[in-house]
Amino acid sequence: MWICTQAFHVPKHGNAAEEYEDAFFPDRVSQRGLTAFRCAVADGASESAYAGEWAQILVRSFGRRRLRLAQNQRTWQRLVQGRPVPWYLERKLANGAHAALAGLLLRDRRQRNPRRGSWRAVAIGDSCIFHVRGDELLAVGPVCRSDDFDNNPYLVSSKNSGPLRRDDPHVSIVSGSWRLKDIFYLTTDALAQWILAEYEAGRPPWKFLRALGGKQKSFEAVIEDLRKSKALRNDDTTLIRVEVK
Amino acid sequence: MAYSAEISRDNPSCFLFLVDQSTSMSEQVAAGDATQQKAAGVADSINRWLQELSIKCAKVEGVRDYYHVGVIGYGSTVGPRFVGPIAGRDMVPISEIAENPARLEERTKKIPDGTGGLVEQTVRIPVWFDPVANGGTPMCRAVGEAERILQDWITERPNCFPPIVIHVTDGEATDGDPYERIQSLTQLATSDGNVMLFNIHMSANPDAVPMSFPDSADELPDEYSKMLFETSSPLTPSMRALAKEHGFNTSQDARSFVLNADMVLLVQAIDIGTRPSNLR
Repeated sequence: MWICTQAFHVPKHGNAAEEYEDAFFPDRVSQRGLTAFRCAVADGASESAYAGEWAQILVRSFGRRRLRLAQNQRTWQRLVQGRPVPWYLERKLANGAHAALAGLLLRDRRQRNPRRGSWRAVAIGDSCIFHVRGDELLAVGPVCRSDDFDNNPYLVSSKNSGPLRRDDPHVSIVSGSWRLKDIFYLTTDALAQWILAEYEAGRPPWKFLRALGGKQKSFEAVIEDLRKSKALRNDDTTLIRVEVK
Repeated sequence: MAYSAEISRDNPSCFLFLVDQSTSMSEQVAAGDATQQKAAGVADSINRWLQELSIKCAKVEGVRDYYHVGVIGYGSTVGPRFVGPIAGRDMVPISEIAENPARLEERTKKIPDGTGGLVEQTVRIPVWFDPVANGGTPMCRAVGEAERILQDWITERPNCFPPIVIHVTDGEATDGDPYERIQSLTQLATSDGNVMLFNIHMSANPDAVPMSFPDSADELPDEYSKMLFETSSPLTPSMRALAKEHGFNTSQDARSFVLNADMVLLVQAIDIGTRPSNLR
């Protein structure tokens, strides 16, 4: 399996680069001969503290092996504890950090069929995965309509939750099969909502997303224009494009 | 569309509390299964609300100034009522409020111990505002003061999410008819909409029937409550959604007005009026 990926990211307008609280993994890959490939985006909730760090922990955990929530929570706890904090941060940290997560696993079945393989997507919250073949959208989730985004998605907490179970109603697991030249997009909520709105309006943006190539600067310019025209919510914005070559 | 401006550090919004501190605020009002002095209950609610807003706006590097907040009291005098280092100021950025409580009171609360029991934990409760109940009800002067403060605020930030005024009172004005003054206050506007006014009327009378977010004045008992209804702003769609979370079914014409509130309804009304939905 030959996988090429490219990640793009922009902080919300008015925020500094270090205030960006989405996360993605990996940044860029072009690798042949893979039998399995994992990638993920996460969206740290602005109303929690150390949310960007929590999002980072989650995407790295998913991307490198698999999600190990209890271990991830201990990592976050070690990061935030042991330093004196003002009263307002004390309460905030006690509430934990929260993030939406969307992860994708691709497997090779080349031994059986050289042009196909399987994929599985796991999502909690409103970060989304799109599976596109040519100009056709084959699958999207966990949010499927642009009107279905709201301000209160269920999020992965760095505190007080047991292990994630497959039958947890908040965990979306979807699977399918890929063919050569298929493309997957993983995005955080603002861009996912825009993509769905364009698709629903009969203007699927796949050509535009492909045409971004590897240019982070082009992505930044496009996002700025979309925000100015109010087509895109002002939020941290992240995209990973995954091509199966 | 009105009431959709993004609330950010570059374009903050504000809340202004107008608190009746007349002598009648020393009466007891229902607070769950117990009773509490109205003035003390209002002070507790505002301190807890300031604490929650500080926490909501807190990040690792400090508290972000999405909001400025003022508390104007009216009783024997009219003026700003913060105590401690920010005393005397009428509108204060939330970061300065968070950093400057008058004191941190230690209280114990019981929390689950994880094995089905309860364990006592000491928490630090910040205090910025103390209860007062003394004097008449100079509502007209207080509303005039609010108008002056918000006129200045809007002049500096003409495109902000409109200021929200939370007015807590238990009685009629003793310095004239406040109707025109209140109309003048709520005619102030930014490019995103008019100043919003929540009127929260409290009653110590256990037989008084509470009314929440009515959509007409027809069933209100007297001219005074009708005046409060008429001057209250229509609830926005996001406030109606929050009201629903609290168990209130409101109509499209519902006003931001509660009559004969006890402590529980006071806290609910403040939450519905102030919970942010478009912080960025």
